[in-house]
Amino acid sequence: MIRPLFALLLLLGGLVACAGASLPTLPADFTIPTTAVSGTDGTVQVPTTIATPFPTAAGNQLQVVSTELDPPVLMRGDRGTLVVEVANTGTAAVRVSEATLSGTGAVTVEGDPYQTVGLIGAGNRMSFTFSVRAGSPDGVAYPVLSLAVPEGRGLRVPVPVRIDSAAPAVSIIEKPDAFTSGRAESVILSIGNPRQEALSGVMVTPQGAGFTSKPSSVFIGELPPNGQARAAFNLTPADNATLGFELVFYNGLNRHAVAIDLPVEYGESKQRAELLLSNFVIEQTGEVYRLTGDINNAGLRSARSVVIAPGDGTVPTDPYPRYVIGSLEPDDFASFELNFRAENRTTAPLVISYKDDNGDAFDERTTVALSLNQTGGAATPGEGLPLVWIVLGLVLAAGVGYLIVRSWRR
Amino acid sequence: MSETSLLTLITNPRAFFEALEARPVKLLVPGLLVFVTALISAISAYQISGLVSQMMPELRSMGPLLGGIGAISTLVIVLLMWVVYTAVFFVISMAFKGQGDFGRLLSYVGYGFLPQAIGSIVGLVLTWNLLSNLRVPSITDPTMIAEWTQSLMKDPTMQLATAVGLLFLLWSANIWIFGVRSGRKLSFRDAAITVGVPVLLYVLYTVYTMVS
Repeated sequence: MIRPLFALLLLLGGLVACAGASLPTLPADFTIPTTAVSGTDGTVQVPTTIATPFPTAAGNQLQVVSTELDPPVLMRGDRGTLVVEVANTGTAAVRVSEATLSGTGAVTVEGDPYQTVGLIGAGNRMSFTFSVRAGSPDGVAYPVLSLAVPEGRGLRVPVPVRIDSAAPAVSIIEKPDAFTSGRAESVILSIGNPRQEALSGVMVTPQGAGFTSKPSSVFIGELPPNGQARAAFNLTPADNATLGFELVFYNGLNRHAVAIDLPVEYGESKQRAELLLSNFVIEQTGEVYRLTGDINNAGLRSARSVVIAPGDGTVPTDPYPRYVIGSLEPDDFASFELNFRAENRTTAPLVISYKDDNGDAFDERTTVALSLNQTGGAATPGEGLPLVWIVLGLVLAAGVGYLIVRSWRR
Repeated sequence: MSETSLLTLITNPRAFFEALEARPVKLLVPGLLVFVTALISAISAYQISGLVSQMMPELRSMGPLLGGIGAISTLVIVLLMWVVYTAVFFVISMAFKGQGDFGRLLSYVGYGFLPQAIGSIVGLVLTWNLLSNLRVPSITDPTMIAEWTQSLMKDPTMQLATAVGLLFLLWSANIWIFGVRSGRKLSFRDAAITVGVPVLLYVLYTVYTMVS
């Protein structure tokens, strides 16, 4: 009973061995051949599992010595070029009638360029190039390279193709809390490359309507793996503008574009410079008013080229028809002095003009009451005479009058 | 109370000068009264002159010098005014056939400066209060300085000081009437005309410049 059972087991083992030579599944002791890819800095080996040329079915003469995928990692929808190099390590030439690459899972093979191949001489190598296209899902797919050998068992080798659809990571690292129509605001993007291979031709271009941008686009070029680059723009939106960006990059020859939205909120920036005037002292010299005071920056941003001038309805006069403050940092203050004529007015308008860091000009208007200070210069007649002085004058007049009258009565 | 005391001069100038008629002319006391008046006026002038140096930055280092010039000028002018008043009264009283030497009249007019000495003190307090708190503008145009000075004189405090000065000038004129009457042997009417006409002209001129 044991002998027939043993013979049956040998028969089943032989069948399994024949099936293993023709099925794409990997044997337990199977090692994936080397996949060599050409990068900008030389050949990259993926995956890292490397083995000596593995035995093939054709009398162990045909062996896959390397595979090369360009780009090394495909994104969904990418086309790539897969080059498989086969060596004849035997002592006799092998005739290969056909070479095919069968797509599996996420990889589709385009074209069938090797319907006839011919002889591979002893010790010679032959490269087979296929065009593949990545689908989904992400991961590692194994299209199978099949070499048909009429006199032998041929060759079937799964070739790894990596698919990773991760797009560059884009973050807005600086933007205004609110846009003001007609005012340039700085927007800075950070573009990071989370992929394991470099991206090329990276470029960021503002997209939308109703705005101007400086610069019109930022070309980053190559973005290495785990690398990061910045793109800074000065955007000046008009009313009802739509703002966004388009990130364009290349994975091999495959062009990709990513849209980035930038929500636009209109209003006054919470961080803008806020210029306040205080500590007014007004003096009058003839018809000319001399106004001194302090200007404070109560905002959170610097004010550049700050100039204070009298507004409409007044006539600026020397020596200070305008007063140039210059730059005023947040929480800083400066003193100013103005000279102007303001006939028949009880208030005088003041115009504070300044620029932000982008060079946009701003105007702020305020008014100051033309009431002369007690500590000021010449007041107009009849104003500001303390009551004590009036009483003193009356007492003196009464006293002198009494003494004069008394002198004449004696 | 002595007939020749300063209190009598204030309260009863007629008796004061009648008591002096019998005495020889002495200029020490009236001269001191005029000098005190001049000295107080000089202090006010020092303050006002110093304002010009504060207005013009290039003259800022010359402030004490300008103040000193103003003070000395005022001192000399007030002393001269003593002589000028006496001369004017002396000449006008000649029209009324006044008798009496110039020295005695000079002495009597000097006594009449006592109210102005008191008025100068009041004026000094007023101008000191105004000028010590004054923020002087920086002015480069000399015409603007004159304009500013004019506007300063129209300040209520300055106008009050001027009015007080005129009030005490009228008081001095009252004393001068008694002095001229005694010193030039005139009737009260003639003495009043002799003193009143020039003083009134001066008062009118001062009021005109203050109002205009």
